Amino acid sequence: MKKVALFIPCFVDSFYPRAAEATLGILENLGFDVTYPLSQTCCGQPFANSGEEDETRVLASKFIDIFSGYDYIVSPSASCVSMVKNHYQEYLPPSEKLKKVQNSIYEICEFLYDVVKIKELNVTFAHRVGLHQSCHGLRELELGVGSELVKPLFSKARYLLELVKGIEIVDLERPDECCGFGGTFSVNEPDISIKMGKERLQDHINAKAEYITGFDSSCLMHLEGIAKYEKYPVKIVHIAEILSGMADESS
Amino acid sequence: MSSKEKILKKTGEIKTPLELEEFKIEKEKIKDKTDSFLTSLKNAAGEGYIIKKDDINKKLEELFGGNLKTASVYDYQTADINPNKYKKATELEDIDVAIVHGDFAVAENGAVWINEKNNRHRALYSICKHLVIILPKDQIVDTMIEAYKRVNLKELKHAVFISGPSKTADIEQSLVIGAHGAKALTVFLVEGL
Amino acid sequence: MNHPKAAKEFLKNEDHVKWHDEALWFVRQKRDIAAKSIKEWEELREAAQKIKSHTLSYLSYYLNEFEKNALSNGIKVHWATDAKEHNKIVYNILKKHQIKKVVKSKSMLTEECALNPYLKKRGIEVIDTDLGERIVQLRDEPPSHIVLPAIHLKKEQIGKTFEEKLHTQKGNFDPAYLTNEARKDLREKFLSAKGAITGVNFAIAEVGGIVVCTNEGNADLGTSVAKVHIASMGIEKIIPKTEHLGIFTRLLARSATGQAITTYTTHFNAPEEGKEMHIVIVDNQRSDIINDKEHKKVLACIRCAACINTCPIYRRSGGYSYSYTIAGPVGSLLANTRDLKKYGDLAFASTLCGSCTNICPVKIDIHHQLLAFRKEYVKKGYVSFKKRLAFKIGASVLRNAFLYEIARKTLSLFHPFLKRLNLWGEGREIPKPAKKSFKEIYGKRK
Repeated sequence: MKKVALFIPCFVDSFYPRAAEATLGILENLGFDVTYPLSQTCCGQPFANSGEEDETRVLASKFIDIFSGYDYIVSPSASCVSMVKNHYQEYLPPSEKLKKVQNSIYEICEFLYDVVKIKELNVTFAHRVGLHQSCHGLRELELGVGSELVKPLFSKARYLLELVKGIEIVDLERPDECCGFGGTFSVNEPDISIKMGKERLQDHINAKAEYITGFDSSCLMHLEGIAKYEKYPVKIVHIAEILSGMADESS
Repeated sequence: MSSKEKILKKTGEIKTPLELEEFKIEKEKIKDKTDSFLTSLKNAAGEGYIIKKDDINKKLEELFGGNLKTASVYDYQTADINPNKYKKATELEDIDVAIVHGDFAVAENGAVWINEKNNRHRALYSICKHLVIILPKDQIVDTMIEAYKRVNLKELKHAVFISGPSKTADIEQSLVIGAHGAKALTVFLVEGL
Repeated sequence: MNHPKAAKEFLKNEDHVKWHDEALWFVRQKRDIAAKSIKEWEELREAAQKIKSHTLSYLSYYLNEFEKNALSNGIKVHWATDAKEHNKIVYNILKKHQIKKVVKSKSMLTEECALNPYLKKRGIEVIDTDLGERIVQLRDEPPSHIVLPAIHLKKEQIGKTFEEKLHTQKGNFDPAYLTNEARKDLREKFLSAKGAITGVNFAIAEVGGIVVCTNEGNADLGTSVAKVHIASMGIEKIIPKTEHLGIFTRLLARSATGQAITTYTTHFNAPEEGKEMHIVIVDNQRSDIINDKEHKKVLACIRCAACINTCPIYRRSGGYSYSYTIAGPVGSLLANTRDLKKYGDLAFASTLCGSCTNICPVKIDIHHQLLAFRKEYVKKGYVSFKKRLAFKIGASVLRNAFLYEIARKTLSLFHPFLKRLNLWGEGREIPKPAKKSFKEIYGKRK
């Protein structure tokens, strides 16, 4: 039986444990032997994006030590997975460990679509839902096709959501514009960051979405922060919560 | 060291390039090139007509007859001015209509290739108010890729692809036809030329 | 002013920001329609990238070939190592011919070299003839966008400027009327200017000639009336063969404005009878990056501005928020290749969303390049100690389980109070830690 390790970024651990629980639930229901290595912390992305190479290297090295012993590493955070899969070689020398980790890490939607090749889901979520396609997941992990490209538009995340019973996915004016989080950007340039987030939320609200979902809790955290401040009539939920059925229990 | 030497020193030693691959880009052939060209021309705010060779003068009279000052190096009935007679390009300022010949057209974008060896003043096609381009109807290529394979650029001193009249959207993205060049453009695709 | 501060100012006028953002998003949408009408678009991009990469690897060869062919066509070729030399060369050509008035079509290179003020100081009048550039020239402002120089202005603002400078009808802000008035005013200048300066979109090595793409016909009219044509080009504008233009001309206008092609794609291969044509080949720090493996790709840029139009940050902060001649994604890259210390902060005016990378017709991986500049900026020690300290503290908390718990519990306890402090900007609440972290929940399962 394939051994799966769960990678939960620190802020998901702290602020959105439901996304982690949901991911764990999905994997266990599919019959995987899942371990959550307790010594994990951070993939190093915030440090990398701020140009802090040395800090990134230390965290990356620790990451591959913890996770190299598994067949699959699954995470509900697309940008973190992209960091490991697409950028770790910029910080670490080539090694068997690095190669294994980069080849076995998946974001949950990716995992369900590419590895499990899921064809049906026995969950319900009878609500109008807007899908926020986070930039790194979309363009770096190719969970979907960026609207700039001249390729048939396809989204793994949307495919999975469409398997959910009763769901209605709304059409947005700008299906993949950035929400404005951008990690430290949200701190360095708060005004534009918030402006962009407000407009993303408004797009979903105009499309009459009751829920906004996505595959990156960092974007969702930023959108939720603005939605709460503005008291917008929309709820934010991680896609794993919908796909696992957890969102339905609490809706 | 001259500036040229300084620059070339920095850009690296002069070495003969390795052969650059030929790009074989798969694309669908355009079924009706004439129709495609006329549509693209319209999108570029130009007007196109399919004319029989013997009807050129008739059509010119119909569209541009009357008091319009018409210039052409060719013998068209409405052309009363031979622009080559003028010494300076500025003397062409009063011209209303200029009639030039095109070599071929490009279906995907409504452009016509003009390289007038017989024309003395390059200003002719941009100084006039209304430009008329006459070319054979069967000389239309699909895209710029075919177009640039066809032109013999090394032999030419000056040539231009023109697609529609001059235009600008610099004021609030509002498209205005007629900027500094011709304010209107008409293409005659001539059968039997 | 740094980008965050400038952006904050720009954002104060909400209506203006909305209009600016929507105007540029509209251009992005036009680009999408044009690009998607070509099934082989992605292959064209691939080919364009390969041609540029090849050319940059053999740049000396192609520059040499270009000069040789240009000279044999009767074109005079000059080389300028930097902006100052470029300006001097242009001035000397004009002085020799006693030219006191020149018409200029769009050239970001001449903007980069600050040619206009240089010539003005020496008694030569430069009239920018591209309508957008003419508008900002009359207002004594720099262009805010490389393709749409006056995109930041509303027609009322333009109309008022024309009332003042061109004596147009008071209160008539109709774009067609204003454009026609500009046409009349500039036509007089075209007919009397003895010198014409243009930029260069492409310089073909095997021909020794250049290509200038415009919609307005200002480059065509200006150069065909004037006695002297001076074309300024950066060394990176070279492409090897005529046939390569087939690929670039299919990509350029569609990426820039969504048109299938610009009205005029003009080939200047030799001067007109009795006239002179000069080409000034300019380096100005471009050769500095030619040997930089990571950043060399920046030289492939064909100045279409697609990256600028798609950038969500540019659309909401405006061209003037960036401290460099060219604003937006590619501008930040170009600025960083010149002076990392001065412009390095521009690499942080981005969420690294990657839309620019996807849209670039020559496939420059813009957002990865911005990230690389951030690394270099930090490595060189240009980030303030205060900022780095914040990171060091953050890192230690994250790595230490005990400190992490303390931080969590503190945030949890004081959240109702902390959230009102606008610690994460005005308009966004800081997240509240969940009652139990996932580690705790998982721990309880065993």
